[in-house]
Amino acid sequence: MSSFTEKLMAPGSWQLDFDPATPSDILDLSALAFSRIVITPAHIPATDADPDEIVAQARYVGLLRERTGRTRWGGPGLAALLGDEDGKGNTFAAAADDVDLPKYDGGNPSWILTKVLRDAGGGANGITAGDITSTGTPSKEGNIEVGDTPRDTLEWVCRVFSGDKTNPQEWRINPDGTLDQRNKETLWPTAVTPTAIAVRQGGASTHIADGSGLKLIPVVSFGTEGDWDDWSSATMAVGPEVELFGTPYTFTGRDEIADNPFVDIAGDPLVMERVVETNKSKSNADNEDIAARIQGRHENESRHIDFTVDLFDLAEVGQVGDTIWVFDLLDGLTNRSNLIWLAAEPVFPLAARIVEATSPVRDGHGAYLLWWTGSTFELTDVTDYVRPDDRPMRVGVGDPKRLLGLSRPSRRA
Amino acid sequence: MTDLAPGTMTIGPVGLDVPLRVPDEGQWRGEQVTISGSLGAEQGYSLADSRTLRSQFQGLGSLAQKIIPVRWGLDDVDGFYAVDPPEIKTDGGSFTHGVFDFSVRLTRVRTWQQLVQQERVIGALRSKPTGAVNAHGVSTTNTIAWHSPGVGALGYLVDGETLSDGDTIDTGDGSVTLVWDSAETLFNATAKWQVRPDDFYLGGARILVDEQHDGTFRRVVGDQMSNHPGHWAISNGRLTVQGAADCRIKVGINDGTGWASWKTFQVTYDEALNAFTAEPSIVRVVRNTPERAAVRVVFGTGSALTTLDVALRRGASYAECLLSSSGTVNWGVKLIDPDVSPVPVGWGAIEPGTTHVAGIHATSYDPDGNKVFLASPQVIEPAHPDTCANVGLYLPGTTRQLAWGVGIEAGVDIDTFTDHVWRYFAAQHGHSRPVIA
Repeated sequence: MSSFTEKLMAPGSWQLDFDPATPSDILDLSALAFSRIVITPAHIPATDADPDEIVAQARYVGLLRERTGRTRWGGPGLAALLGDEDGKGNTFAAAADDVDLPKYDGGNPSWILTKVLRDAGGGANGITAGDITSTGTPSKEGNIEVGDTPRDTLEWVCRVFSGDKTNPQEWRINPDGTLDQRNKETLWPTAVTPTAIAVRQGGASTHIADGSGLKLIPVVSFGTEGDWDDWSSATMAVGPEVELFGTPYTFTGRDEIADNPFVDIAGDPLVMERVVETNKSKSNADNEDIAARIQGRHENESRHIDFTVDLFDLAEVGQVGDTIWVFDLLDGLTNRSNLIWLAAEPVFPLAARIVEATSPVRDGHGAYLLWWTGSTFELTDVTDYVRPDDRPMRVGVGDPKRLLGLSRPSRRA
Repeated sequence: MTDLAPGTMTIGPVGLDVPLRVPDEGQWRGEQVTISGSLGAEQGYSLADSRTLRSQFQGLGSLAQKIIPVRWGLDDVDGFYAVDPPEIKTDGGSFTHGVFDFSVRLTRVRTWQQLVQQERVIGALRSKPTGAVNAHGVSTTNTIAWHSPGVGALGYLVDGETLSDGDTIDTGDGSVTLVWDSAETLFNATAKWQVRPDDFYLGGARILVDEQHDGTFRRVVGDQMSNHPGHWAISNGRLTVQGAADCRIKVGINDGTGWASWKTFQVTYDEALNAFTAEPSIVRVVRNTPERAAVRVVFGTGSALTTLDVALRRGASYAECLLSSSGTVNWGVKLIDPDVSPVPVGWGAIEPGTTHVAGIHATSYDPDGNKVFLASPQVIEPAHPDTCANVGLYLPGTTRQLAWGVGIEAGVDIDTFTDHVWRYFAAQHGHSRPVIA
């Protein structure tokens, strides 16, 4: 099963299955761990273009990190270079208190340049700055703890520099290894107006010349899961404990839901408050920001909608992180406030964000391994040996799917 | 209730126009029956009818809703059945002599008395095709969010209540029920009712095609139809919209006394209402369910794309149309005399029109006693109040899309064109399926 799974602001994973009759010299390449696997939307023979051009066309780039026998290769996406699933990366071996830097200021020291991309500190395994707004102000103070990875620091930076719960700071790593860090609506303009709609196959058609650019995602089947397991009525961010004028003092900040819709068994507002500990803030106001950002994530049903789609590639309609319309009246996937015209049919879809997508590697995609010879990178075309997969692709929208044991929000902020 | 001719049966919509003879063999096993026999010419069908029947049979495999009424005309076996995609055998000569062996497996879900038809309806004020609010100040104070279960609905309730307003209208299929209320409940409600298998399709929306080009229209079953771009129709027993050559549609009404008041509308492209003459090249099914049916016609060839979508709801006296084009012009529509060719330039004077908010209607009842009307959420000319030599409208600003409603007010009804226009402005989406009572 050759496929790649992309996840919003997480490493994701990929896997390629090779034909058993693949020549040994190709299968030998499976020993070159941390080489890049490059998947392109169309197959370009490696002899027809130079490696940089092929990588520039890449649809997905991942790191080779595991193999089963020699015919199944796999590994994570590039985000693992900033900090993998186990917390390895260019980790901070020493704590740093009272760091006060702007988010990103071009070549000047900043949280992103100095503490995430670790310029002049050992780098971030080759990840470089992409689209990030450059400005000297504001600057924020924070602490770095022993063992923090650049990805941990990036997540803290996004949290602390987000002014608006509805348009937070987010990040994305592109196939070329650059890091984009902007607010959500800039990285993914579809957050404001979705341009694709997922409806059951046979439900509609958008091939008309209406100029709307609305793309149809024909869904084979919808599956929904939802829970309020993480819903909270308020969030309190506590810590760190410092010494103020010789007396111990603990910073605190609290954010409460504006309109609590749930009641307890006596009919009074339900109190389900969450407490998170943080060691990075420098004031009560910082704690309030942290509490607000975390509270904003837990004010609605955590709903995950999985659907299988008959598309060649998700890139035809969008990418992970984009907001799309989803409509299936009988499953309750509808929102009366949105009236969208699918040709002459009025539909009332829900807006939901693509948080993960598993795309099969199709017959037609190109697959290459970009590996280090000792002095240079060499691109080897492995397309002919990869077993393609014609199954429908799976897209997940809404909140990230629950994985047993791994999904409870951390108590450490 | 319609009576089945002896020796015939219906499987969903199959057998409603071309009769389906009860096949030779039927084998029951619990609630499942497998019936098999021969469709076609050896039983006295014309070749055209045999092929239509075969194609309708094949359409059973692509029905949107797989639980359908099946009738032998016998109380002990008639009911609602889940239908598996049928098997149809063809041999080298089948399409020439019209004989097809078939077998289909049906599983009875319940007797019809144990099933309730449930339709989930959701809606909002109709917006312009771009999503912007309508140009005429029409608001939800004017709209009439409505619903119809068709003919023969029993125990019909919306969200468990009887709505405050209702009407029954006479149609070619029988007496059709309509309900609505001033609270616009039907913008977000669930309607439930029971219906006999005999009445299930009466008053329902359907798509028809005239494959022989001789005026004989046959039902399209499922989501595929053969391509006869100038010979299709969409109907609900009350209003029928027929496709025609060039960029035209014909609209007629049946108030229980037969089809009448046929009007031909020509799509136009400039402020003088000159005819847009492009031949239709493709017609396809967009939706084919009794609660709503829609077709799309594609005009012209080459690098331009102009499409006309026509949709019709069960119980409606108006059709919802959308013209969409890669060309940006002053799209419009006007009444013409279909016997005059070529279409005269300019407005014409087929029937004088008087504008109303958001549209225009025939100033007087026509010789059949009915009044045709047009409406649109976009900015249109002539604007209200105005009188006009002909019923027509156009968009003063050049654009790619024209959304319009076309309907006929039946003189015998209490509802006027104003009521129908307010219904048109309630854009509703419905999805119906049978559930256990």
